Amino acid sequence: MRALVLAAALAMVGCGGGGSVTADGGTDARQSDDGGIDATPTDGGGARVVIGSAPGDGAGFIAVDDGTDVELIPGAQGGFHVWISARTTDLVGKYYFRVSARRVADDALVLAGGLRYVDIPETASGSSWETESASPAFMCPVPIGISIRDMPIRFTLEVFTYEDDPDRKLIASDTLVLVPHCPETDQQEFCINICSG
Amino acid sequence: MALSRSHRRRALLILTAATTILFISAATRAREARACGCFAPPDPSVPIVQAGERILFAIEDGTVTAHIQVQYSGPAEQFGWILPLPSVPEFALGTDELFAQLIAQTQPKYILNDEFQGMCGQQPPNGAGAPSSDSGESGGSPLVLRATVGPYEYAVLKGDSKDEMLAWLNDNGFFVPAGTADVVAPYVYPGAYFLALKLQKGEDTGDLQPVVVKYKSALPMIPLILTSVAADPNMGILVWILGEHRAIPRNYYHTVINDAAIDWINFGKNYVDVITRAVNEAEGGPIAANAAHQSFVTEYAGPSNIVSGRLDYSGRFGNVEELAKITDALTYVEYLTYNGYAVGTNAPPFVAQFSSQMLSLLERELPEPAALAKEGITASDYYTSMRYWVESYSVDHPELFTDLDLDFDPVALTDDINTRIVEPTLAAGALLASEPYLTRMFTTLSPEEMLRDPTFSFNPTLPDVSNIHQGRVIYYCDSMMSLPDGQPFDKTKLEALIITEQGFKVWLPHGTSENPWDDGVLDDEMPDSRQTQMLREEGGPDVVFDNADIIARFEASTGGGCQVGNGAGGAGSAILLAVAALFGLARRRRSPEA
Repeated sequence: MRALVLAAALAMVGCGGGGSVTADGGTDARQSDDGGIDATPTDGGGARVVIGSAPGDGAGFIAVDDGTDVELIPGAQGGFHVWISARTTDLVGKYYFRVSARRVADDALVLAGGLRYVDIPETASGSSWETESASPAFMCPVPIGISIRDMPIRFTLEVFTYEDDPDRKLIASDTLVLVPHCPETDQQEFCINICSG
Repeated sequence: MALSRSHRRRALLILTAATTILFISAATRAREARACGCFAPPDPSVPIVQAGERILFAIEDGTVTAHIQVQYSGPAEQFGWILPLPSVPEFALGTDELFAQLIAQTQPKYILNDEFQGMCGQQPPNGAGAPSSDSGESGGSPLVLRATVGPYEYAVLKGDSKDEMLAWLNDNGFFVPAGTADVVAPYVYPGAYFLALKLQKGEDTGDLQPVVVKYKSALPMIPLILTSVAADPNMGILVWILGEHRAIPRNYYHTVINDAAIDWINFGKNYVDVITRAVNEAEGGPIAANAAHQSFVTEYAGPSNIVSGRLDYSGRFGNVEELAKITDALTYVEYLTYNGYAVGTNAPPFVAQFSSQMLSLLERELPEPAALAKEGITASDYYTSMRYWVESYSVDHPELFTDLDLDFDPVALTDDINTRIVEPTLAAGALLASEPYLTRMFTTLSPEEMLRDPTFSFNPTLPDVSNIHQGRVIYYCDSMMSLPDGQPFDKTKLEALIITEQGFKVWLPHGTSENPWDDGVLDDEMPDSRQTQMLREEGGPDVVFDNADIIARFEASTGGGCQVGNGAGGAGSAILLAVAALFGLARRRRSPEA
């Protein structure tokens, strides 16, 4: 079965995402399945973020490889989402996280995503920290005319300073390509309907 | 046509839903419901819009706050409401005044500004000084929590089993309409919740007031699929969205209407019909085959300060503790009148009026004498001038006041007013001020078209949209060089040219007294939509259908190409009549949709 989601993801813990960017301008970016380099230069510090997913209940962080099949999770009043988690390194304090998503095939924007306030505890100083619960990246209903099911979708997680525009600065970012599928449950037909554009 | 549905054939309910909703009611018409609670402003320049659902969404940091106006006709015991939610919600009372203000400030207006060319009898030449139109439980039960607030009893239920949830609702007196089981399935999954609502015993539909539901969700959505169980044909759906940027319909088309279809002479009185036809022109096509007729029109997009400060202005409601100490009924009601519990209107007689919720509370504690009511004195008339009726009018008509009872409990009444009026109004006011941008969107949908739940997101780059639309009407005064003795100047008899905001020109050889929109020449033949678009969360609109060229051809057919500056006059009229004759033979291409 192709939409195995977390089970597969769990087997890949530690694989890392599509490529993370360090805040000093360095990168451990790796080739993504769409041929591009998932990396965005940032400035200052050694801060790093890795984008991952989570099991069906949304708890914890699971590192996954580009191209991993994931199951669309029902939520949001009949909508479907993909769980997005984060692991950070050398980040402590208040930040804004933003998750966006684009269809790999044509770069069509699926989700712009809003800013989400995150407070990383002092205990993360000098080490890594993972989100306790994932954020739902809203997928369906999809933007009109843009199908996402069974298609590679590039998720981007950006970490910004906790400031208002225009002072807000990008600290770190990472991308991950996932392939969402409708669950093989009673909701499959409904899912296909609202995730197909 | 879709509009006047104040009396529904089936006393069905309809609720206004917000992020979704299902309403219900049954089939008998009992007492007339008075649940709108509106202070709708009868401004002649404002097209009347009746919406089956009115919802205000605000989104901040992953939390959606939805104010939902409840509109229901039917017996109180058959009022029921079910809303699917992604998380356990917070529930509170809202206020109709919020919607009254939102409607008043963002309602589309179509205004013609007069201009005069030539010598116009007593009128000043060329527009100088010419008057403009006015602008003017637990243990296997799905129950998570059950509580009461204001007139409502509500329950939050786990939504992971349809059968258990529906059985609980039936067993506990929450009305569930026929057909619900068939459409509720998409909202049932592990981790889902439903909010169910009913009126408490002793409350009637006059006590209905908006509800506020706050829950965790990335984007606001209206569960129309569920609503379709109890929806009317061409049901209006009016949505306001507060946020940082302009909101867009994420999974619906977006329509820009053809403003030449609007009856400019009558301030857009055909507005809702135009909207209904315009959104029906959005075909599904190869891009979104199942999205036919699913489209929203943006009616306002701009700063939210157009409404902020109108509900929670400084000093409003006076001092509630002080109010609770007033034991004289007349003084008590006057305190209400003069401290913002009654709301002013922008139409004659410009007298502040109490909302239906306030009237319901007053009627319970200080009932209007029955005989006086039979004389036609409405509750609103009575309470806004209560001292006059009780101290003056009663002297000459004592027989109308035999059951007058001015004894009341000011503490209990004030507590109810505080819970149902003051706190919800101030909270709504604070919400309006919390976000910088407000978007208003409208559409009409029939039950068979409610195949997807509209979801809304934002695009920071799209331009503002004004709700004020201004056209020009140019009167050619030389077409009436002199006035017969004693005949008053009548500009409506002058040959005239109307130029709409989008630039469409309409010749009126016999003046504005002959309204071309009345006979359907304009609004029945032309496309009602100028563009059907897809709006994204970035960039400009993707145009799916563009009717500009078709509309331009109609303009040419109706003589719009004539030069205004050349004086029009008889020549223009002759051209128009000739073309109109041909036009009348040539059309019938398109029949108006139902």
